[in-house]
Amino acid sequence: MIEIKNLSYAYPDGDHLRVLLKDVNVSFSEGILNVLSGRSGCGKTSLLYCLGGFETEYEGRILFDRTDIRQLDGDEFRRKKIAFIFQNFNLFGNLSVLDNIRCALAISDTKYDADLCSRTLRRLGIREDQFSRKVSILSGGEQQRVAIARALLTKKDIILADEPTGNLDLETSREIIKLLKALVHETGKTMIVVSHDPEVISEADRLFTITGKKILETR
Amino acid sequence: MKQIEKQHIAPIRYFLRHRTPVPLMLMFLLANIVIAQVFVLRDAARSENELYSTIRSAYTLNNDHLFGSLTRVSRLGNDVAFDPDGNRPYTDEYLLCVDHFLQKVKELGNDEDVVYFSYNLSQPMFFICGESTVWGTTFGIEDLSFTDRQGLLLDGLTQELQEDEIIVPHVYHDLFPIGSTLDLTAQDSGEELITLKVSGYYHTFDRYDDSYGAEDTFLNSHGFLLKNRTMEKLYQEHSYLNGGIFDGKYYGGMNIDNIVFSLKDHESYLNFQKKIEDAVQDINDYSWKTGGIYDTGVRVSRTDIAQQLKQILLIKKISSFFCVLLTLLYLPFLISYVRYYLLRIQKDLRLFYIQGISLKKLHRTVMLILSGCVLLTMLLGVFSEYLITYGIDRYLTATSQRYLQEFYAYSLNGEFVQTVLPDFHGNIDWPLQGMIFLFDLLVIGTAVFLQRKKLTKGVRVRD
Repeated sequence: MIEIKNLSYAYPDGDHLRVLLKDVNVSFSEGILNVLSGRSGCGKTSLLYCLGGFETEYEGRILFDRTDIRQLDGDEFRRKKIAFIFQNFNLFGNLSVLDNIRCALAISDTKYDADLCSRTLRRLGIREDQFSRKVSILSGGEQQRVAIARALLTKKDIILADEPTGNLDLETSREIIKLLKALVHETGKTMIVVSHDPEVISEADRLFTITGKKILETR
Repeated sequence: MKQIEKQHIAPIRYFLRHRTPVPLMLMFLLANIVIAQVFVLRDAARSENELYSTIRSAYTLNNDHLFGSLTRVSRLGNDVAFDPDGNRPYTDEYLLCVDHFLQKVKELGNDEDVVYFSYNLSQPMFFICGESTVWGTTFGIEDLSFTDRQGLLLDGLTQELQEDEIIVPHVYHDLFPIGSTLDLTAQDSGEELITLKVSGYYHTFDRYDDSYGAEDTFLNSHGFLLKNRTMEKLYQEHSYLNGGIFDGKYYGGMNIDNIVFSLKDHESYLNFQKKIEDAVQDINDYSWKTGGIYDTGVRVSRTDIAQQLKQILLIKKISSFFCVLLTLLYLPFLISYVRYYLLRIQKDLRLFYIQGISLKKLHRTVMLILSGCVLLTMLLGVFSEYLITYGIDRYLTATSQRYLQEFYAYSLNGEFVQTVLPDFHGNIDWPLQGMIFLFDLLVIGTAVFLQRKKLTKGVRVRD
């Protein structure tokens, strides 16, 4: 469970601060697909980075298991608890599929289980002959699947996804989001997806919309 | 601790395997070698240029070496080892030089300023001390208050030197660097051979005895070392003209060992001094055109030596110029490559940061790799400099050294003397290496500075 208490966030825009979020209170449930939506520039991604520990300059509190995440070791928190899925995948393009996963596992101090890794990748639609291929030669959809596999295999409690379908075609987007939803239901992890993709929004178990510097739960 | 180590292994392994600094190191290495060569070649050229000038001046300004070579040949003429058949290996060039020399000497003997003249050059075993000539031609009457003295020993000085005294041939002074130790055996004092030993370097004699006073100038300019005895004592001991006329009426004399000139008066001396200089120049020019230096039957032309040295110097200067040019052209490319490398690393850092490695630790890792890279490059640079100086540069320097050694061999009347030419072979120039290290840091620093805007932003998660 991750909770946001009275969170206000602003960033410097020239010589004044631009407030994006003001006294936001919200909690995200485990085992369901939480989707955060809103207009471009409304602060979706900023909120995601606050949740992920990348942004620490905000007012209010973000609680993870009832502990303020700013009281935790930020790097360790990200390493142990947070998995990110990005619109542009953020994989090591010159490493193979397996090496990308091994590298992430080594960093998060998670034991590499070849069988589990293989099953997860296969389930995500990566063929075995692609395991040892360089990520850079895979298609966008395949790369995003690898990124999802990486997030899942590191066994982190929270998965944050920033426009995970932003670079994908409609069909692939649909597949990916359905897959994410299924996986989160199975694993019981906390997943927060930032998106304004209608396909993603339609699949949301809980939908939050940022409007007027506030977050409203619209579903 | 174990965890920290583990999380560091991934980026370190990644950087070493996939962002290997080897191309970067090779590029730096190339730059370092080129820079090192600029300085090595420059130093070599400078040093040899000085030697070259010295050789030229030796032949053109005084006749030490003409006399030295004549002496050499005259001595070797009686040396069985010189010619297995016992024949005197006088070449036509040599004999021409001797004839020319004798003719000049005779002409001088007929000079109206000369009141007494004798020479004993008819024998093959004549010896001419070049230093005596130097003294004779440039003897500083003004410095020595000549009129107050009844005569001066010139030849006698040579013959009666004590064991701890040596006449340092005028021309050699600049060849022996200050502070160097030179052990040599010079045989030089006319028909009697005297072994002289000198340790250390005596370029000037100011340091010896303040009692020399104003005569320091004389000593400096003529360069002979007289330990333990002041000039005053020398005059007392040797106040006669060897083989000449000395009855208190004559004011000067000139002695080139077996050639004795006595002069009418002070003015005659000054006139004659000029004539001697002209004659020496004439002999020198003649010898330069026709003569050679002789070595156990093999003729090595001094003109050849000069030409060879000139060519070697030219090659070194051209090489040095191209090295500088290459460095200047290469530098922007090198900086650009470092920037590119940093940019690539920066993208990787971002990916590691996302996965939970702190920026501070990542930067530390990268700095560690870059420092190791610079250090390793420096070590490789030192090693390559060592190899290169044993390779490419060796040929040029060794060639010039060979000629120079031959030159020195003759300049000390046949006694082989190891030259004190700076040795570039295999020597590691640590100050130069330090400078190159600073250059590497400067390049990296410049690249970081140019890249600073992107670097100072740190690793941003947003694209």
